[in-house]
Amino acid sequence: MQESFISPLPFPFFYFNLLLSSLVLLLFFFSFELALAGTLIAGILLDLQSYYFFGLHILSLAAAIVLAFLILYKFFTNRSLYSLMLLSAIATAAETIARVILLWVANLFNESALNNIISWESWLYPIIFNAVLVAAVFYLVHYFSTKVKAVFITR
Amino acid sequence: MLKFLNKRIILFLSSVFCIILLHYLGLLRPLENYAVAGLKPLEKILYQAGAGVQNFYNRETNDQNWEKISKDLEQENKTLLAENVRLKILEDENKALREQLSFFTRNNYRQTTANVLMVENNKQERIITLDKGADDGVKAGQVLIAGEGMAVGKTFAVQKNISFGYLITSSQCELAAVVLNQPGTSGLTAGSMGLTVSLNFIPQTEKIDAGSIVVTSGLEPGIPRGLVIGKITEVVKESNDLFQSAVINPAAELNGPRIVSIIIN
Repeated sequence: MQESFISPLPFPFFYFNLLLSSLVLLLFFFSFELALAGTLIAGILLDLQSYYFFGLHILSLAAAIVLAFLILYKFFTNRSLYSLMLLSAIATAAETIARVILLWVANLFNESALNNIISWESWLYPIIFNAVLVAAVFYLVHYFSTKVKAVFITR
Repeated sequence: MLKFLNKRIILFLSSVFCIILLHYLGLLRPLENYAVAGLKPLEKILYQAGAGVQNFYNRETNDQNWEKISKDLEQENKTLLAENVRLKILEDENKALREQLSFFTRNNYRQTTANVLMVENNKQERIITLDKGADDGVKAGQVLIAGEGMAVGKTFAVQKNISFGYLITSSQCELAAVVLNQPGTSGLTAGSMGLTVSLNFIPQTEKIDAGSIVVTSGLEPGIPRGLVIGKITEVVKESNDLFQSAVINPAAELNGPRIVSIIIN
């Protein structure tokens, strides 16, 4: 879905990272174990179809989800819209950073190999699109359930 | 809790490293081939749906009248371009026939048709994944063709069942090219920002005009002469440079290509 459907979409929609958003939603609404299982399966499928080295997508997705879980567990609540949006932004940035670092190492620390990957669009657009998607899903869950609060949590 | 958490993360990371290790040892190869082959039909449908959305978006964001006029003209232009190139090549071949008895026609290539499974956009590159691989005779460096002999890219990596290719607008996609009807004016094309193509390394002494058609030169192994790359829109000539260059508008439709042909022999 991510590579076949999202990638051919027009600019800037091809920057939309549906896969990572789905994993963050799994982590937020369900469990860490489910998010890890999703990471493993999605990472393997992406790596099988990728021209980059095998392991790049599994490791970068894993880094993002583990970091997101640690932040969620230590600092955030799993009931607020803002924590979900922030978590999505952190996970998206972490996935990009992990991917860039892994490619940098795989290219024997050759920075020129990263020129095609590092651009402000490839950082900003996924963060914005993913935050909007998770917010939309959050409101959907809020509509059907009382588990989450749409604005601020009152103590 | 933290101890339990660490155990889960360690267990997960161990599984990841085991899978990566087994992949590089080749022990997962049969399973991977099965997964790749099994995913192909779904990927094809999803890719075509994505490309359909892109075409719809492009249509809706353009002015309707201009879009129709432009589309008609573009189609007519492409037909004339292909016809023109075909006739020019026939003329050249006719001349060559007088000199060589062992002449082979340009349609004598062995080719295979591949569906585009996905396209990946980077800052400078547009990379397509094709559903044909080494088993179908695909090798790295083979030219990708769309429509009536229009070069759209080149393969650069091949696996058992799938292959990867750069579109001609990618900076990594280089093709030996020549300006039609000007045999001395040869150069090397390279994509620019995933949008246009440049013809580089043209000697300063050569005269090139905007509107000229650029085709493959046939100097690269496995890539025949006469595949249309595009039309020159601008000539960049600096008096203190060794070479001049030209900006080419690609002839082929590069937004959401669905099917391409690969010349395999």
